[in-house]
Amino acid sequence: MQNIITVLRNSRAFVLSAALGAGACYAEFASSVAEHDQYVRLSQASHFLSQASMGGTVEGINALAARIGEIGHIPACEEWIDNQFLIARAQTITSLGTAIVSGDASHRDTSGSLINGSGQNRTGYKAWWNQAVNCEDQLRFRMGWALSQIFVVSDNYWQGLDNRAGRWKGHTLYYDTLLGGAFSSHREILEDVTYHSMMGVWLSHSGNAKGDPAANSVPDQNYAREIMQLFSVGIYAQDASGKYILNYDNIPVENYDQDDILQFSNVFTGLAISDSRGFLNKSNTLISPGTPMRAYNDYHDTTEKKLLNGTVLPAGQTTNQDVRAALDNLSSHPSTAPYFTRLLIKRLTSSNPSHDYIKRVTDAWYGEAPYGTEKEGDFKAVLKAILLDPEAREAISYTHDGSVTRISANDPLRGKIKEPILRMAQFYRLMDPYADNIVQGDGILRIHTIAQTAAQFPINADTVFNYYTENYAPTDGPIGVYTTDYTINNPYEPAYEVTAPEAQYIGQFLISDFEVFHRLVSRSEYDVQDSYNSGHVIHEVIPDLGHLDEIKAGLFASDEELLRHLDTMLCHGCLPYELVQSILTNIDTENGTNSERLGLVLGAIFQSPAYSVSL
Amino acid sequence: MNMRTNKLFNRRKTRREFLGDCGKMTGIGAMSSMINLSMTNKVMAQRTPADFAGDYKAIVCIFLGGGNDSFNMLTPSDTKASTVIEGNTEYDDYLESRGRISIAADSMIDITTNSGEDYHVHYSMPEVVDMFNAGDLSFLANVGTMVEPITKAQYQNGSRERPIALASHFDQSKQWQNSVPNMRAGSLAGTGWIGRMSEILNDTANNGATLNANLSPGGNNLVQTSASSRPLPLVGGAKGFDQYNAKLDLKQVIDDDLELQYASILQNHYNHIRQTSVGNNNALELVERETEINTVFPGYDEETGQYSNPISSQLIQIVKYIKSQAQFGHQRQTFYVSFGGWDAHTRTLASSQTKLAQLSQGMAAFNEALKEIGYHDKVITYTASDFGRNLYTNGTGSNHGWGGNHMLMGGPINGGEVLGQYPSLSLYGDNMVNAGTAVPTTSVDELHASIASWFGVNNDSEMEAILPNIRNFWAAGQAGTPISNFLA
Repeated sequence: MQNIITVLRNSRAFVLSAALGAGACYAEFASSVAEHDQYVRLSQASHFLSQASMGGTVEGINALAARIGEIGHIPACEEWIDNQFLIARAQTITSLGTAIVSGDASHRDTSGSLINGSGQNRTGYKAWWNQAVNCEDQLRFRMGWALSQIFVVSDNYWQGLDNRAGRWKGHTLYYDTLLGGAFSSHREILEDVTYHSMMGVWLSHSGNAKGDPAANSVPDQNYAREIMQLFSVGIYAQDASGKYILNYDNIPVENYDQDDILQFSNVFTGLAISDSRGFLNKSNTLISPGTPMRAYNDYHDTTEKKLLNGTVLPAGQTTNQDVRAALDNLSSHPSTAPYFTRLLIKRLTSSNPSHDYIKRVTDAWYGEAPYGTEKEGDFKAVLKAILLDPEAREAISYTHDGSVTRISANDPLRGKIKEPILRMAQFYRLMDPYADNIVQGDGILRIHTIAQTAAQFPINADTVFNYYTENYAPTDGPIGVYTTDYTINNPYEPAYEVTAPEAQYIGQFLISDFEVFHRLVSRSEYDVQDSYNSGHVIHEVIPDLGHLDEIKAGLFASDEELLRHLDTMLCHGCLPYELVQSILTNIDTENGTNSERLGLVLGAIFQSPAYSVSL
Repeated sequence: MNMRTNKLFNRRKTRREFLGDCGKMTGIGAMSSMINLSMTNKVMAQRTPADFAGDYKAIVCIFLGGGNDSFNMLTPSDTKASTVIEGNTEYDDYLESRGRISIAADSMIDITTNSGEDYHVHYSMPEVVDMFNAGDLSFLANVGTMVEPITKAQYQNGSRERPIALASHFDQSKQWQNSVPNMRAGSLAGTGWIGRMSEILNDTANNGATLNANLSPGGNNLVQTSASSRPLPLVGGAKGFDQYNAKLDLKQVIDDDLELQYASILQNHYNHIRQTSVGNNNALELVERETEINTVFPGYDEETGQYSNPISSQLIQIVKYIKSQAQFGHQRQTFYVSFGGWDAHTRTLASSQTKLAQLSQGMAAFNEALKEIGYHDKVITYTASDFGRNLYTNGTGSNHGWGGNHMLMGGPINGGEVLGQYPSLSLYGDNMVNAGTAVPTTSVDELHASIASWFGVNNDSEMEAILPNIRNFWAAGQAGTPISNFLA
């Protein structure tokens, strides 16, 4: 580090790519065959892990790169996935949260009593972050993060859980259910979610009684609507490749109308949270949020119900019979596979998958080779199909003509903007945070406040529509120009827009990044006012970052090597040559300490589209 | 690389080429939806910045996310006879329809409009009643998304076009903002009526302005979005880029990065967001820090410096921005306030009691603060929401409906009135469908056109570009506003 950042300007390494200005290529640099191959393997490994996990660690990227060298790119990635399927959860988020509350002095006042607020959401956030950064079952965690943004429950506006006893617990219990079902199937998790007490209270189908004409009362339609619109078939009919099915006016056909919602609202009557209070006396206060709702058949509508595509449920069925048949009806609907796989693709790899990509994943959903299984909607098959697809694995190309490595993107529409949590998590993962027991001696990271600065919390979307809507299409900037041009030239292909869901959510959060990095790299301790507990000041300690310490200790002989390393590990080779040049030119080596300069370099890369947008 | 992606690297069309293309496409019915409005405005009314000099105006939209149960906010009279059920008053009709989720008349606050009509306002809103009586506020009854005028019979027999996906939060909250309830995609569905209005007025009204004219303490939204710009989200206040400005060597690196052309359109868009964000935040953070407002906003906690009222801090930001408008060079500004949590499927009575009080107190403080800074006669504030709610209860709450009641506030508004037509709330009433859903009697378009007229939009092709369905409600060239007695 002593020479960070001296000069790479004169080095042999980087040659400006003439094509970069045209947007086709990131960089070219001279390399031997061996150097090129190693560079590609590391970049491919870090790219795959940026999609299949909460981010690659140095160790994990090196290990996968080695396997890529031994058995090839796709087989090595598939082997990694197969190994992930075998890892059991070591601990639930809920039990980790409980450990944090009992062991953390920041939750106790000077007399040792639990402070008001210790049961609040930040406990859950801390537990979540510990697992995001450190758990072994990373694929499960990444899938859980995706599912939590589809089957949305949020601690926003939540008033039903007792504060001191652990208001956060209902949310972590729900999240644990999603993690538990991450490798199950759509039909299975749809039932887990439908019966979950947290979902029942959130979308108000807990305590939903059959209609009572005498009291001018009809069933609540909330869950009936949202399970169709958001969790299964989606609003518009679509084919297996996700293309909308159009009517004679070129308008997409809708999957259901108000009459269908009425029918399904009758299905979702008679369920309620399971406790000793009577069906109609349950308030929103959840006593045991982890216990599934149960049927109260006296309050279930027993008339005949017409479901989608001509399915009819006979009169006289029980609550559970009706609900399960309705879930079968929705999960097996032909629009569900393309609708749901598109949502998963958007969460994992790409905001704008091609129809061919969606079709290949839908095929796996229905059991077709190479990844399909006998179970329809099998998440294991779907995950493999999404993560091993050429559109994900070959998004970046690395070519070598004997002396020069060239890196370029294969399709300017693919990839996704990283949401703030993912962006932060992937950085942490690489930097290897560990608790050196300064705080409590329990090995638990205290990184909640950093997360707070990242301005996105897990289980904290504004509404059931997630932090951003899946089809958010910016109308300004580079995407807006593209969409407008496309619409003008394709008047008969409705509803096609370039989407960038996460663009709806970022903005000024970008500004706060440098504050985060200042703290991270200088590892300063600081006091912070806890916004969840007025007046109480928490002492937060930035965790140690093992890999950062290695860098500071002189792991790299030159600035060039350091930047190449960060490029490979964080940007998969796509850090533009010009940005590297700018860093080397502008970061004044006479100014500040090594740590401060390193903070600037990391901050510049973290802020850059080369890192903040996943290809 | 396929054909579609190759297009990315084409040079942009010149305006002449573009207009030429438009000419070739005139046979296509949907043409209006394909035109980038920033280009079309060049062929519309000729204005000069002088037309706007000294004539500052602003619009504030308070969006009540989730669907306000507004037939409990403004109820019919208990003195007027029902038009539907003999022997009933209109209030009796209301009580019968709402059952468990009705409120007794003697709990409500009585009001009488300037035109002598009686109504009742929710007991949590004494501040709103005070403003109503002082002439600073009016209600707008039973307004909702509409493609064209539609009656109960026409709704039932399908002879008139309905908005797409009625009662869907996602669609209806969008349609309140984009004012095209008959479209799902394309440049009109993807932009808001305020955004499109900005495209037409901005170049001249805000000529030389250094800042986005559409500011949003309530965060990103559709209503202020246009083909060429997005609102500036200012949730929790602007964030000055302290580290950025302080570390000059890093600033240069970031500035260099902002200039780069990346291979992915998403990467380039990310840079675009970053660039806009940095510049605007630095300017506004200074305004928030240095502008003083004396009016006390509700819910202030001295210990934490935070407001428990969810709209107080947003409204204070807006007052400060308005007070400082001269330094940014705007004559037309718009603001968006987000107030969520109105989707009362359960316990609507308790929920409304709290939320309507917060809304009432927040709006009253804002009204007062605008008087303090001398801008009361230059600002119209209106409420919007996904939909009104069904009158029938689903237990302790209510399902999604359609038409609902709203508020209009500010010096330019003809205060002390209930504008539009208040419907019979009998389930058998002339405007009731689906057992308790009100078919709107005033369209969202009429509300928007009334505000737009005041803002300076001509009732010609300009109004049509902003509100493509307006001719179904209001003829071209008509003077005034489509909602009668709208302006003071």
